[in-house]
Amino acid sequence: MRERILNGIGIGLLAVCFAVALGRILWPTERGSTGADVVTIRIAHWQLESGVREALDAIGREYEKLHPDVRIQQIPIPERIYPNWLITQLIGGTAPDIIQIGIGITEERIARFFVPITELVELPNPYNKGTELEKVPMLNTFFDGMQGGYQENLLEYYGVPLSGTSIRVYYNLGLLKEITGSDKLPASYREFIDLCKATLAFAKANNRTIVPIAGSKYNGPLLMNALFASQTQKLMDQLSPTGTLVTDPTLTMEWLAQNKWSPNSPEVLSGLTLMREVSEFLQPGFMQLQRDDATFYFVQGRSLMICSGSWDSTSIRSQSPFTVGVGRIPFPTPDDPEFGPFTKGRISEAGAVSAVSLGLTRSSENPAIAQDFLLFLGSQPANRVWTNVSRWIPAVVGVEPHPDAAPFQPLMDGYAPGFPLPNQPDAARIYNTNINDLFGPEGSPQKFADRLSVGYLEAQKSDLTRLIRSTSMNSKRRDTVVAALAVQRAKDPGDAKLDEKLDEALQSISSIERGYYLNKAALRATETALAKP
Amino acid sequence: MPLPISKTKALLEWKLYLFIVPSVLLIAIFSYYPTISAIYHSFFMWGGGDTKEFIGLKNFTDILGDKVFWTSFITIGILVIANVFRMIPSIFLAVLIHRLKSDRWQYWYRVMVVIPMIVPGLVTLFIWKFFFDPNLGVLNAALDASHLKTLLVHMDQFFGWGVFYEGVPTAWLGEPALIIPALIIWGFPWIGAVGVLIFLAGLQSIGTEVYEAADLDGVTPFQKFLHIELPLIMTQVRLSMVLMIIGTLQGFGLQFLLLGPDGGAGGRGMVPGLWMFNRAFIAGEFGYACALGLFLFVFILGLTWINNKFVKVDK
Amino acid sequence: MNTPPATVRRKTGDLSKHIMIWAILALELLPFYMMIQISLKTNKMFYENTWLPALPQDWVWKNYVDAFHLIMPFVANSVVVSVTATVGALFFSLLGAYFFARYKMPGGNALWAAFLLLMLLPGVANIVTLFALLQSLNLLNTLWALIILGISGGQVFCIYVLRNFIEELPKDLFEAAEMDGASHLKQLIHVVIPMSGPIIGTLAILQFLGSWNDFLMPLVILRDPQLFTIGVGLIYLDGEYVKQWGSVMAAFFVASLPLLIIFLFTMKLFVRGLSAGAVKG
Repeated sequence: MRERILNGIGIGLLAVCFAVALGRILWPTERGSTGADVVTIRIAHWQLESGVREALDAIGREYEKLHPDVRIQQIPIPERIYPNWLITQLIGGTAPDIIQIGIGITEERIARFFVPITELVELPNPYNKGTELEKVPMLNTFFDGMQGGYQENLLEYYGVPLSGTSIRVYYNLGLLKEITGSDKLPASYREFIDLCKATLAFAKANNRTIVPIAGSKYNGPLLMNALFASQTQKLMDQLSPTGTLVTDPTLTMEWLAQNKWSPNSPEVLSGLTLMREVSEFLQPGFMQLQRDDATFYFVQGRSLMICSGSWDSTSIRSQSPFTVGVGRIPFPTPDDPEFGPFTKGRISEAGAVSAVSLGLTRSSENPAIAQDFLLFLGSQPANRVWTNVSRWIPAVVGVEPHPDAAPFQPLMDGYAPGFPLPNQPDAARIYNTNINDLFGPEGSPQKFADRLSVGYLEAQKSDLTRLIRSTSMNSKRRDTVVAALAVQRAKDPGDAKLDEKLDEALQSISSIERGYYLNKAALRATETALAKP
Repeated sequence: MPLPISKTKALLEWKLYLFIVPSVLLIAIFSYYPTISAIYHSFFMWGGGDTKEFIGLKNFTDILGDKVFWTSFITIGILVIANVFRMIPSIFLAVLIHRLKSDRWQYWYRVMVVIPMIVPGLVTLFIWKFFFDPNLGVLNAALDASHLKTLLVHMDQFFGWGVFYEGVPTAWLGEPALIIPALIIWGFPWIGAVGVLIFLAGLQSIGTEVYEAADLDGVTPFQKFLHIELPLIMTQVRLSMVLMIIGTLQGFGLQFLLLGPDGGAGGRGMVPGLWMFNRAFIAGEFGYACALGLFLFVFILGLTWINNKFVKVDK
Repeated sequence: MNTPPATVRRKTGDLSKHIMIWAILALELLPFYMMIQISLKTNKMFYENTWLPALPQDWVWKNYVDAFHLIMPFVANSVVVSVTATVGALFFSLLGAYFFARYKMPGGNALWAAFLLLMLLPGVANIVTLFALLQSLNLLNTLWALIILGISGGQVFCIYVLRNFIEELPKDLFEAAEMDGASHLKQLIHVVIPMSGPIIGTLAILQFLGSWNDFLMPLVILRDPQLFTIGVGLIYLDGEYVKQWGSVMAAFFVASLPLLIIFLFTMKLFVRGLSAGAVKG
């Protein structure tokens, strides 16, 4: 009997829970509800860092004040499951109206699922009315000309960026004072290395476990790749035919095939030596650790420095019980005894590109309203809210960054960066699988360079083949557009707008084909190089 | 046994068919249709939605050259063998409980074995994920405290593994070489409540006279197990093993949750099911994923057929 | 039953067994213990004192407040889905099992094979096309999809077990009811159900557990965070960059609460039901 009563109570409790839960679902309250006349615009992203969700909410509320019949709902998705969530939503047709472009996005997906906004952003942004940007085309209201929302190979703008980014070194100021007696941050690479050595000496003398730099497979390479680029600056000058300041992966690969540089070039070896020297001041085994492990290390006061992006500033600051100092990456100066010869000087951040790019999906149920909200997001007033709440760098011109974000504003002084090692998928795989030969206890720059020499050409072949295929497909897609426009023009000749569009489309094909032929040339060079004994 | 029925009576009892209609509808729509559709789509290049392009057997020829897929079979093979060993503690516990003299204790232990089931499997998995954390994780703390860590470091230096270092927190899920061990270790001591209870029930049928005879013959506890208990629970063990093998072969939830859809660092945790998921929902190659799934399906079906044909058990 | 005759009970020989059993059970319950003791600490407290629980006056109840906010919506959704799926699965399974167990109806064998095949069928290939199917049925991003899938999947095992069970029931009970003019439905209600309490209970619990632990289909199907079930919710929590482990563990505990309630009250039923069912299997 007792058992029956107990069972009964158990089932009864469960029934109550069920009723409550069901009620919640069938009659949702506040944010979940949508009356017949209320439109919900959904916006999805992966930025779970501190501050971002709050900032987007604040911007959403501002918009709702202007448009009381609209609700803005945020859908933050963790980075790790973002790619498959994205695909299922896009293909399933249930995608939110606005989606952050970046992770899990390929050109094919953008072209297929997102709305190009080029025409929209060539006009001034109505939400900039009353500011100095009132008459300025929206494109130009961003510090980088909205480069962060531009898709190179598709030759269209797809996203409205919200933020700027930069990489800095964070310092534990309290600990710094203990070690050096002052809170002056190192300005050059030499000073930086001296500081690392001083930290190790300090730790030993006081019997404390302190690591100079907190590392992980995310934070470590962030710092080291930036420093590597300082060693290929002069080489880049020599090799680049047009003196262009932007590194082109295809050109890098072609030069490798033509033996204009190789992993054994003195510049590259110097860069690898630099990386190894720095790696000795990170925790041993740092390549196995994750981003939050390194952050944890730093905020626990077990390391003096950590290298990360401006996007981590709010998270790091809010978790650190000590004052956090922020400094530029310490590049070697030309008069540095070891790494001076190949470098021109510190690297400018003028080429910085905006981030947190938000795109409009084709499957949106309320495209007009979603588009309107997108314009609002890219306006100066909204960006002001953005930087003040999230403490991230603004993307729109004329917005004062929040004092917390000020140290992260891109610094323009300096020189163009050198080229990085090839990072197309297969080349990256060679790099990653052999990286222990650079950082491990038995590793050395020469060993790693030898491994790269062996693997890079072959990897390059498949990377270039892939690039050729995708540029070819892009070009074919454009063909349809051009054909359609040509037919239309044949029907109504004399339409200036149509002429303009057709011209642009033809130009874009030329541009894509240029890329196609460059890739083909690089592939030919690679195959020749491989054929040599 | 269900009662035999004549055709005429069956017609009168036609209403009985209504009982089965909803179930049949459900499995037809949600189980059989997707399977057939998957077989159909494996001959297409399908990006989801309406875009598809017939490519015949290309997907299957691609599978033959797919290194990641074949490596994943090796991984899953290791895991299956490991899982066979992971069944042992459940059997062991069942035998232990069964051999107790006191019935009251037996009953209470049966209840206590069920208690861990309160924590849903998902939560247990996440707690173990936390255990594996390099900095805060309990596993590393336990290894350090018990000085097993030092032992591991020495073994490492001897065997040249390159994973265990003095003073360095071991990243169980971040170090490629440690991923498979982590997948095997998790859930220690590997007790499955349902399994234990099923084995226990099977053991109930053994009478005490058998034990008394064995005692008279001076048989050791282990021999008792081998000759008395094991044969009698063989059906349950065999059924559990078959279900476990099928489940492990196609399962990828464990790997997905612990390591992410890429199979973790170096892709070492990639198993066939996860690769199929990856191809479909991350690379967007739905047709290829169907082909992969079909391949896996045929493979498992083949194993089951072999099992039925050649491995007979006397009741 | 296993009652030994009234000879000397050698309890001392059992001591080693008791020790081993306790050791194994303790290890098995370790995650549970860690979850509870960490849920009442802050990160800092945990770092300083890993193994032992904090003192009662230091317990951080705020963790549970945070956890409720974090996970209640997911728990609610899971409760609805799991309960509905369980009830639905049992309902249809009882009907189906009755069909198979009562008479050897023509076509019965073929249908039975169809069901049996599903138990052995690896469901791997299905996810992709299931997704496409749900899309064309417009069921994506709904909880209904999860419920229907739960019913469809769960009924197979339940029918298997219930059929065996119903077949074992004495035929005269059915005949008596039939002579009283009861329709099949009434026979089901009045004969089968009263006799199968424990088995239905056990199947219900297993079905509930299965639905509760499912995360794959919800992950693929659901878009809106307010619809997430526990499975997806936990993945979500795991994806946060800054983790307050105390709150996370508290959230885990809250996620286990419904199961805790069920088990507390139906423990004996479950144990009995499993044992009874196991003998058949």
